[in-house]
Amino acid sequence: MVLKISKYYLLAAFSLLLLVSCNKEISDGNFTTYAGNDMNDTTWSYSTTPGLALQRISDSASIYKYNDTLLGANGKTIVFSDHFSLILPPNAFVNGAGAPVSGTINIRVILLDEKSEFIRSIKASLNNGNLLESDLAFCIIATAYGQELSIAPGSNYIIRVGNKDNIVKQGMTVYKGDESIVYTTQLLVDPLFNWNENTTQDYQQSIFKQPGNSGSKEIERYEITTNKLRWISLARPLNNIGLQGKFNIILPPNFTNKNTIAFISTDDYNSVIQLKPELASRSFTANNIPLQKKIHIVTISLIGTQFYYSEQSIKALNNTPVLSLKPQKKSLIGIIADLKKL
Amino acid sequence: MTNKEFDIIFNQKLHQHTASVPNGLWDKIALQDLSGPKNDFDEFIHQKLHHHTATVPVDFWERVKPVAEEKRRRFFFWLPKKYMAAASILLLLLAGTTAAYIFLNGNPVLMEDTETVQLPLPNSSNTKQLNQPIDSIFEKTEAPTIVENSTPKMGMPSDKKTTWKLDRKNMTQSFKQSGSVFPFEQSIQYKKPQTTAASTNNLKEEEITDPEEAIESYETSLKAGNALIKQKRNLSALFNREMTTKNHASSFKNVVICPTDRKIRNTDWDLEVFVSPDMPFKTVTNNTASPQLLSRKDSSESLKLGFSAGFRIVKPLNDHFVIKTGLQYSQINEHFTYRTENETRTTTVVTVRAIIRAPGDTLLVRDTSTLTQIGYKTNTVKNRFRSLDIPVLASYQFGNDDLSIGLTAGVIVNLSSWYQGVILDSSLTAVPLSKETNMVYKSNIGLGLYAGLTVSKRINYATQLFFEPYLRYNLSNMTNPEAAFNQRFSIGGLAMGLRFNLNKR
Repeated sequence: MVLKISKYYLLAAFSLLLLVSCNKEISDGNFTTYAGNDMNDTTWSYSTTPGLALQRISDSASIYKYNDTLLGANGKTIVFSDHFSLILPPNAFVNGAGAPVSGTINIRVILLDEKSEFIRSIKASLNNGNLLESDLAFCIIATAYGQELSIAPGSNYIIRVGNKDNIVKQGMTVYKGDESIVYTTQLLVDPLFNWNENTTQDYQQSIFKQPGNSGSKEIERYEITTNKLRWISLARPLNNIGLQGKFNIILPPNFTNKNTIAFISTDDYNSVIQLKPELASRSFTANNIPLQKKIHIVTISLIGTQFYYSEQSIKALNNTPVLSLKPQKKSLIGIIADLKKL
Repeated sequence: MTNKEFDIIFNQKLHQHTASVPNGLWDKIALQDLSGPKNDFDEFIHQKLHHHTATVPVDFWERVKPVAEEKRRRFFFWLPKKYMAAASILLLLLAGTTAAYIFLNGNPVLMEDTETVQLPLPNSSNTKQLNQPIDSIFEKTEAPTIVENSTPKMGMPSDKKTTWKLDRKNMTQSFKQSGSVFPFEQSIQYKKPQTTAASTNNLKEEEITDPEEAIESYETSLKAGNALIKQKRNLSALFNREMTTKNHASSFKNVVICPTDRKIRNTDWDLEVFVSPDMPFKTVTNNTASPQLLSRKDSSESLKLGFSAGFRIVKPLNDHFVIKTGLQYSQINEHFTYRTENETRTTTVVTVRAIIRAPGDTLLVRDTSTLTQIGYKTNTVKNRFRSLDIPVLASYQFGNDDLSIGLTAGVIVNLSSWYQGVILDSSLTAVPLSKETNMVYKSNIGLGLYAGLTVSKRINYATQLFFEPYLRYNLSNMTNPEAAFNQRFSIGGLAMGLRFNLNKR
């Protein structure tokens, strides 16, 4: 009987052990994706209108380097720095209706001096697909009362701008930035933006020289007399860069043309190329990529509020047609810092 | 077959049977000192019946056994055959010894709580007829029929009577308790004629053979349960009897004694081992919680089946009343469902891209990458409310030895309680709950009331299977007074287990 009781005890204890041990602590849970969340959107946009994420990238990354005000009736010479100044005559601005603006006018300037600044503003140095070597580029925006202004007919203003070397590079001419969007106070991303060489009399280019410090060379500035605001570049065609060809990059499905920009920068030239979306292959591509030059490939993505960044250095693409990049999370500050190294 | 039927058959078959007394038997008996206890009864029986044989029908023993008693003694046949044989031998020896004791010692004592069935004596003509067995069957009530066996030589005065007293207590008591299969208290009295006085020491054969002078005083009283055996009779009855197979069997049939002192010492102990599926019921009242918290808590929590397991030591105080105590473990399970937002799921994907390098030059690129998605998770966590308790219970049981029903009630004393799982905090966020981080629930929930209905069924000699649907109501909240809400569990369950008799009574 004792043996039987022992068996019963063992059976009961074993059953109890089974009851306790078979309990699962926590279930894995059922994962449900958020509908409409940017992270879960893996589709590519066929629209020419850039996605909201790209605009946010531009707004976050590009900066108005200079900012000042003047009275429209008085005019003003604004010296933003040793390298950039504006000479604005009185009554030089009119509003959208063509009326003169005599009140306070806000002047903002975006200066694209380095390659990183072109990328941050989502601007390539291309003239109809042809590679340009840019010395400087800038965007002047005048606003008053929440409206963007333009130069009054018959008026001109003068731009004096120079590079860090205080010299005027040979062959640098004015390229005006042609935008496909309606001008607003906000600088919008324009996928059809193009640098067109100036062939009109709207831009009078000259060299402004001033004495330098004792014992040093004269300081040279580009002086442009124009009646146009917005984008202006001083650049030259980049012809002797060797073989060029088509190149694609592919990214994980989360990174689409709605949230990602891709650029290639050349190490030896102040030139950047934007890789445009190729919907058929869900990739980013450009045709005039220097295949024998050292380049950097960078992508910037913004999904939700999270920035992603990828960079790859290539000595020479040669016959490499495609590369796969895997963007990683990165802060905007970190991205800007990395872009400065290009 | 009942006793009555058996006796009728027995009477019919042996009614006319006679057997002569061997030569010298009476001399041998006369030479012995019959004044004191004798231990040679078995030897006497042995000598007389040593060569006697009788054919027993195959189903004889099954038929002679009363049905009611068979049910009560069914557990006996659960034992192995060798034990049954040993027990039978022991029973026979005990019966023989007891019979001798009854015949040779003591004074009968009548029990108070008895019913007397008086059988009228047979006709005087029959009683006066020598060498004529007197077997009469009388039945006044529904009580078992009694057959009185008399010898032809036995004088049967007209005023003699045989009294059988039905011991109702014995009838309702189990064999185990009473120690006897025979529920009667026998009292057979033959009144002595006033003209004759004889002592057991000076009996003579002439006196015995004379029916008119036969002096018989036969009084037997058995109280099997307490082993109180008293008998008072004149040994002349013995001498006047013919030791036939019939009256020999009658003696065995009527005298079975299993003395016991169990009720005096009460050494009974039982052990109950049980497990119970539990269905908890939760009562939540607001303390300082926001309506949103209570609403979210209510929608997030769903009680599931729990269980209890433990053992109880059972002490029978009498035939009906027992007390129990022991140790039991209880676990209440609860599913807690909550959402975690902004969860990401990363899946490895292989993409194939067709890149057109030039017209007619398409490049297929297979790329392995990851797809990250964002969403929410619906998590289900098992909250466990565990407790270790001491039950202190009393039970009143009624029924028979095979099947009994009892009402059980008492208190459950909590030793310790502990919890595991998650709980909503004031910001409606699910936070883990453990022994270390628990600030909501008590570590001791105090007392609980317990009530149950116990149904037990004997499955073998010392084991009973029992089922006990019960309800446990905790008297205090399981939450601390500082908690945002008050919570209390009540439990309904069905305890199922085995009850072992520890002292094999």
